Amino acid sequence: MHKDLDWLGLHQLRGRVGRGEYQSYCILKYEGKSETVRKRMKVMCDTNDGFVISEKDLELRGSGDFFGTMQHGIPEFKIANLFEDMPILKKVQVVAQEIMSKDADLKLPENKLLQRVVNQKLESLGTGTL
Amino acid sequence: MVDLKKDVKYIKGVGPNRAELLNKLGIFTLQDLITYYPRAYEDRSKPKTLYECADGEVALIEVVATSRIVETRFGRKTMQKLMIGDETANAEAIWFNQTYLKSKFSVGQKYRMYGKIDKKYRKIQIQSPVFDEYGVTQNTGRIIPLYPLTYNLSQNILRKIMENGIKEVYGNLPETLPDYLLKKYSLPSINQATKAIHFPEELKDFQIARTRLVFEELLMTQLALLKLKYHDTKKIKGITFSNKHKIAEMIERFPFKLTNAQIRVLKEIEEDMESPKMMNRLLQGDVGSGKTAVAMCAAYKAVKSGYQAVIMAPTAILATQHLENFEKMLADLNIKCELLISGITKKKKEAILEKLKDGEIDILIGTHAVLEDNVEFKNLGLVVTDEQHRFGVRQRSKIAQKGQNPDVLVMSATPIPRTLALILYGDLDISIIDELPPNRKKIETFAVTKRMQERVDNFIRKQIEEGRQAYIVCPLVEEGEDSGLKSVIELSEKYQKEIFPEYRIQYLHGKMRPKEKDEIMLKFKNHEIDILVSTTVIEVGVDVPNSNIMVIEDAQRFGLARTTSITR
Repeated sequence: MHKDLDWLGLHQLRGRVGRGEYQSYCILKYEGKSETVRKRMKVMCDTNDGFVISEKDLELRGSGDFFGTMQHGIPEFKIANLFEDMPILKKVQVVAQEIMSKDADLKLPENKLLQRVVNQKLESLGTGTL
Repeated sequence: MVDLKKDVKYIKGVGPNRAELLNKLGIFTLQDLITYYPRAYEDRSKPKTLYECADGEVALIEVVATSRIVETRFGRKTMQKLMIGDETANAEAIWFNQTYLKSKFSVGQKYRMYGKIDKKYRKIQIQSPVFDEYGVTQNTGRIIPLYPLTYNLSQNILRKIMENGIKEVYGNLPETLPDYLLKKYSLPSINQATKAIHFPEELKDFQIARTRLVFEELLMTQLALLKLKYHDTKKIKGITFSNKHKIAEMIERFPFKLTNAQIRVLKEIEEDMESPKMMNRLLQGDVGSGKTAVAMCAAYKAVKSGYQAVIMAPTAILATQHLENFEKMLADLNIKCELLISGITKKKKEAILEKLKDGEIDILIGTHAVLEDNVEFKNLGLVVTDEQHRFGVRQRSKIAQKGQNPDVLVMSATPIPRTLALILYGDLDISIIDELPPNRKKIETFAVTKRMQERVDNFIRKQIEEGRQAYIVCPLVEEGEDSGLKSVIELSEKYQKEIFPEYRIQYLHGKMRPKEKDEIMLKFKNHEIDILVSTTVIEVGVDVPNSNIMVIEDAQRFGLARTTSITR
């Protein structure tokens, strides 16, 4: 998908105006009767807050497309779906933080197993083993 | 131990031809195969009687063949028909062009069939069903995984290959998650999960398996990113900037008050800068949240501490705009700013490079050109870059070589929730500006349909009469597609001829040369153009404070992507 069609792009385009002293306006011309489109238009009309828009965006289309349009350098997932799996992600972030604060080099016997896969991940992120 | 690196062609049922097809799916090794996950499942384990089946339903039936296959020919096509029945009704099964089926059925034998049921004109038909002899569970009688792309491999063949692959690894996969995590989060073992994600016995089994695999994938990614971050922090010694020159001094110089969010973020940045650790920070803020002011403050501190700073912008015109802003704010402080973009003359460039090396330039602002090998700094201390130039670790070391591990600030205008930022940018520290300057008025937004066209045009006219300017944007359909480009020109002509003949209208699109684009943007900025009809190239653009209308054509096209099919 082309970046032009990113929904957040709509919000960023709108940000081109409203930079001076004048009251600014954004007019979204749309066609069709799609429920999703109408929901999106409503969100755009209701708020100027990009964080709100991006959260709604995620809800409306799921993470694959959300991130498909973002810049490179973002990890790819084989099975995880960042939107649907948000509850797991939150748990995981706590676990990861705990492990790293105790054992950043993953040298403790109980973390030995993690070391191999983490190193593989680092390689796939294009960084080589540390 | 099982060899997960084993070439997929040596797996039972594969061979060189199928291996080639598997390669096209990105499957080269046994490991790749068993991590090629289903996109959905079909429950073919619950039989129904012919009587229970609804018209149009896809169902599993258990039937006895009551005839032989009868083949009918229509021109070059053939149809195979088999009479079947169970204790509730009689029916017929039909296939097309499957001559080989003739020998597959025996009268009186029981079969399981799975397919679409057609109940019309008091006749029951099952169309092109897959089937097994009763008792066999190859194609029926269980939950069947459906894989994403299969190219010329049928689902049946891929499933069979997968079965062989799983048979080979099941019980032999080395565990990847420590025991304490498996217990604490009630996760199944890697062997159980791998088997159940492909061949669940019950639908709930795949959910349990999936949770574990997702947990593992996210955990390993998050750990890898954190490890990267800790490694940078602990092992790479960065610059300790002076704590005598405070960012607060710069904050006071602005003619406006910074927001609390900006001040909080600057505190985080100042702590990083004054510590010996190498700063690697993502600065996230919505459009208009004031990221440039933050960058300026950080650059101020770097220069005052005796270092140089470099600011990278995604486009030449943005870099030029940054330069203007920086010079305005920093000129009377005797801080020397300079612009390095690809358009400048060779002579000028050489002069800049010379001064840069001698330390006569304090802040260099530019595009990607500032990363070139011949750009040498005297003592580079701070790198501010845009998300679009986001460095991989390799490029980061390239920057590091230009100085003694300078602090790095990555700016992003993509507002994403923090939890996601933590995994997408997990190797960076994250600062978020979540507040807009209070004097910013809400941009009034209206969603309208074609019927309102005239009112919209009148509204634009009214604003232009008052001296304002307008953007009209039409999104490109796809990259490289000419129709989008054409539509910008056509639309621009239509507005000029039919709607606003009295105004100065210009079009702008991504296929124009950068210089041409910059010239047009400059004209718009100088109010030599009233209406700019453009593709979305203006997304990263120049401030034109006098423009106050943004019209977006075909707004429904934004974000209208294929919806991801959920693994279910």
